[in-house]
Amino acid sequence: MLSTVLFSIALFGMASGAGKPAAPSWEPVFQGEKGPDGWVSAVVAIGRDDFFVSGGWGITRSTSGRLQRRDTPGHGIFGLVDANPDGIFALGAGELILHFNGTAWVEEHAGAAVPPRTKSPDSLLYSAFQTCAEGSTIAFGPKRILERHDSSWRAVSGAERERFWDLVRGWPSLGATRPARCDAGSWFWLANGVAWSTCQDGRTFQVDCGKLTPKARKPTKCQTLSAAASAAGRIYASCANGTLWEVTSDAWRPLTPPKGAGKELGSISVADDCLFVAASRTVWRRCGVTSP
Amino acid sequence: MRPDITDYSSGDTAAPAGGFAPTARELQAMGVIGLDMGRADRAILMNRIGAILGVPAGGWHGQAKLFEDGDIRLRWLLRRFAVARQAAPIAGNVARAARYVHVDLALALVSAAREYDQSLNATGAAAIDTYDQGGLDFLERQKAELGLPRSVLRNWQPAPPRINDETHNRVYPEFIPAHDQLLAYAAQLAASFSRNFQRSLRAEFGERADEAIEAASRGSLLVWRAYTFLAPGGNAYDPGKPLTAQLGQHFGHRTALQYFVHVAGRAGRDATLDDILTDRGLDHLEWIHSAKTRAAEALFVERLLKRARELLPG
Repeated sequence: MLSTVLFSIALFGMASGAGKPAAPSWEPVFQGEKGPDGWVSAVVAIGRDDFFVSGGWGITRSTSGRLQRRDTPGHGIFGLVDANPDGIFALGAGELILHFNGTAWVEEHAGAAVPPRTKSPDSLLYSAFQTCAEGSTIAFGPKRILERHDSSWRAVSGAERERFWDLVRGWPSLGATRPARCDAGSWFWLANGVAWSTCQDGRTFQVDCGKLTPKARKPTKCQTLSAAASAAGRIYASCANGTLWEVTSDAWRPLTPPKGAGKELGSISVADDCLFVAASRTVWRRCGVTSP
Repeated sequence: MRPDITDYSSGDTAAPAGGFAPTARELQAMGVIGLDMGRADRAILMNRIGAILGVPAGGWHGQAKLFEDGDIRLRWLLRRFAVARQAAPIAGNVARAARYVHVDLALALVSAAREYDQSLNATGAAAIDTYDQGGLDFLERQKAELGLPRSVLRNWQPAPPRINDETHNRVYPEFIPAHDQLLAYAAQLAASFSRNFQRSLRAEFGERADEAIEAASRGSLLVWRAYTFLAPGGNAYDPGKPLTAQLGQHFGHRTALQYFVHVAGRAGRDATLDDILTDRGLDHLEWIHSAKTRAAEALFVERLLKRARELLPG
C-alpha cells in the first residue's frame, strides 16, 4: 500500500547543494502540494542539507535538494520525532508508526485493518519520546500509548499506562523534585529523555532524568508555547503568537521568524548551524544560528 | 392556581430568581417535571419559546436540531436530570461553575451538553484533554483571559500542541481535571461575551453600545452569547455583495452586527440587538440556528427550574 517515489526536482529552483554556504536569512526549502493532503505537521533535520518533512501525504526526505517521498495514503503523519539513537519515527492516523533505519522507512506498527484505519482519535498517534529510566521509546496520541520493544510496539494498560500517561504530561512524573510553588506549565520532550518545561509563573527548566537545570524565565510576550527543539545547550522555541526565540540559561533572545509564516510555527528542528521551522505548508531554513 | 407550564410569553424569559444553580433535588425535580409534561406539552412550550427567539415551529433541520423523533431533543437531558445519581454530579458541577463564573448557567449547561455531554456529570481530578474530550481546542491560549483564579488554573496544564486531524490547523488544548469541564465551558461562554462581543459591539454601535445592551431583551442577549461562543470573530460584512454569498462559516457575530447596522441604516433607524430575533435575512445561517437552538433550550430548562422551585418545599 505504501509506495516510495523519488523526485529530483529542486524546490523553488533554489535548494542549495552540499557545502554551498547558505545566506544568513530564512529561505523556504519545502512547500507542501496544493490540495487536502499538502499540510505539513513536522520537520526533523539531520544536517544542513538533509531533513525530513511530514504531513498529510506522508514523509519526504530532502537531501541536497533531492526529494525522496514516502506516501502513506489515507494516513496523514501527525508527528515526526528524532529518537536518537533509535532513529527517527513518524507517527500518524490509524496507529501508523514508521521507523527510519538510516536508509529507508520501515512500517513497524499499524492499527487493525478492520475496521478501516480512520482519523478517529482512538487510533491517532502524534508524538513520541524516550523514557529516562528504561531508555525505551513511547509513542502516544489522544487515547493510545504504545511502548517499543525490539522494533515492535505494544499497547500498555493499567498502572503502566497511568505511569506513561504521567510521562506524557511530564510534570506529574517529577513528584517531589518538582520546584516549589511551580504550577505545571508546558512540557516538551526534546531528545534522549531530556525535556523542557515551564511553570505557569514563567520559570523554565531543562529536565534530564529528574535533574532540573534552570533556564531563563519565559517572557510575557510568549504566553503559549507552540514548539521547541534543542541544540548545543540552547533551546529554540516558538510561541502561539508567531514569535521565535533562542533560550539560554540567561535570556530569551528574539529571532526574526520567516516572513509569511504567520502564527503557526508548529515544528522546529536544529542541525549543524541551521534552524528549520515548519508552518502550515512550508518549511524554512536559516543557517548560522548557532555560531558564536 | 399555577399557570399552565406551557403558557409562555416574552416576560417569562427573565432569569430565575436566585440565579440558575439548581440543587440536586431541584435538578431531579426539573427532570421529572419535564418528562411528566408529555411529548405534546414539551413541544408546545419549546415552540412558544422558539417563537420569541425567531425560531420556526419545529426548529431547523440540520446540526442544530431542536426536535428529534417527534419530541424535543432536550428530552435526553431531562432523563439524566431525573436520575438521582446523575443529578447530583451535574448539580455539583453547575455549582462549581457558579462559584467562579458570572454567566447564564442554563446556557452553559445546554452548550456543554451539546459540545460534550460527558462533561455534565464528570467527577474527579483525573486529567482530560480538552481537544479530544469536548472540543475546547484553544483553551491553553484562552485560559488567561477567562478570569479564573489560581486555585483553579494551578491544576490545568497545557496539552501538547498538535494538528487538528479534521481541519489540519494547529490546536492548543489543555489538560484539565474532569470536574472542571463544565466550568471551562461556562468561563469561555462568559469571556467570549465580555471580551469579543463587547469589543465588537463598541466597534459597530459606538457610543450606543451600553445603551443597546440595556435595551436588549434577555432572549436576544442569550442568542448573542451563544453566537459569540460559537463564532467569536467573523469576516467584515460587505454591503456590496449579496448577503447569501456571505452566509457561511465566516459570518461570525461581528459580521452579523455589521449586517444589522447596515440594514437598520438603510431603513433610517438605529440597529438594536433585538434585530437578531426579528430579521429573517440570516435564517439560513447555521450559526444562527445553533445559537437560537441553544438559547431556546436554556430558556426551557430555566422554565423547569422556576416550576421546580414553586413546587418543592423550601
